[in-house]
Amino acid sequence: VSAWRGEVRGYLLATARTVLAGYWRRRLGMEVTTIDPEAEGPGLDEPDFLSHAPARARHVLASLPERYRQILELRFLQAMTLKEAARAMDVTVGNAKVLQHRALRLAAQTPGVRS
Amino acid sequence: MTRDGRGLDRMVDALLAGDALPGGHLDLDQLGVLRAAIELRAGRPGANLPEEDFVTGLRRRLAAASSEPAQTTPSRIGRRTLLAGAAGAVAAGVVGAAVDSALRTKPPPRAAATGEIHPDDGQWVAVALTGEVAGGQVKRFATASTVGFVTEHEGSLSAVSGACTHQGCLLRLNEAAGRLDCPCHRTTFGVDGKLMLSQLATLPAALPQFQVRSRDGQVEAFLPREV
Repeated sequence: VSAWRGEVRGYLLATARTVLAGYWRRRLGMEVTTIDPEAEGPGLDEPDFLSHAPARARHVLASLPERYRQILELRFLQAMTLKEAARAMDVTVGNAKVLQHRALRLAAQTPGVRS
Repeated sequence: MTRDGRGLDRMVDALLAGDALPGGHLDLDQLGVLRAAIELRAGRPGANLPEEDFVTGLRRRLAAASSEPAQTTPSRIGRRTLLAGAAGAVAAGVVGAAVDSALRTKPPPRAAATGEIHPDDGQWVAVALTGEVAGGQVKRFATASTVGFVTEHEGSLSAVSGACTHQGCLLRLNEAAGRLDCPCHRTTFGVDGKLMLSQLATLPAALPQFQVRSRDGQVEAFLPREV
């Protein structure tokens, strides 16, 4: 068996797309996320695992008001529990929950996330 | 929160916990919220790296796959070398390259070991003109199996591997500072291969060296033979 890196990459990408589409169809009956085959990946000379995800997350967070940004950063990026995040922000757990809820709604409106 | 929002909340909780997503029905607004949550969760450091279990399992399967052809066409690289290389490559996300090299029982493109590289099946390859490295100039070279940097310092030649010892990212020559920078995790090596600075908690090893010699105005390095 022999194949070029580009061929292997194409094959893996196609597999990942199909698996992901099948997953969302079964799970929710609609496609929540997709892999765009045309999306620009790392070039052949670049590290393959360079991910654009952290930059996109930062971009979304930067557009939010301070408290919203804070709760999402603690919960999503720093993996804090609701309790820990509430303590860090000096609010009740109930408040933190509401903050997170509203922050996510606002984040969903941020351009660049919906596509 | 309405009853309708509960499905979404459960999904977001599962997402944060890394659990399987519960099923349910979402309206379009909620779908947008779930997408935003997924996008943020994907930004967590390391979220793009394969899981340890996956890498270990893949390594085992590669071992099984590579042990068969090894009997018919005896390979001169030790299996441990091959697996170490394959695991390094997988960790770097270069699954394709690893599968490829394991199936052809060919030397791994990126050696994980440190020290001097002595390929069992190697050859002298011209990597630069003597003039290109004179006076401490650094020259990048690349063959099908190897990427590296060669230079000269006070009359003696040296060549180091051009792949970071952390996860195999290709190093970039920072000419102004005379060093090799890793684009992935803020790590820098000297052109002699020694680690200069790194943000990583576990410091990566120095870059492996290649044997080098000067022949007829060319600098040659002893590199793994190409198939």
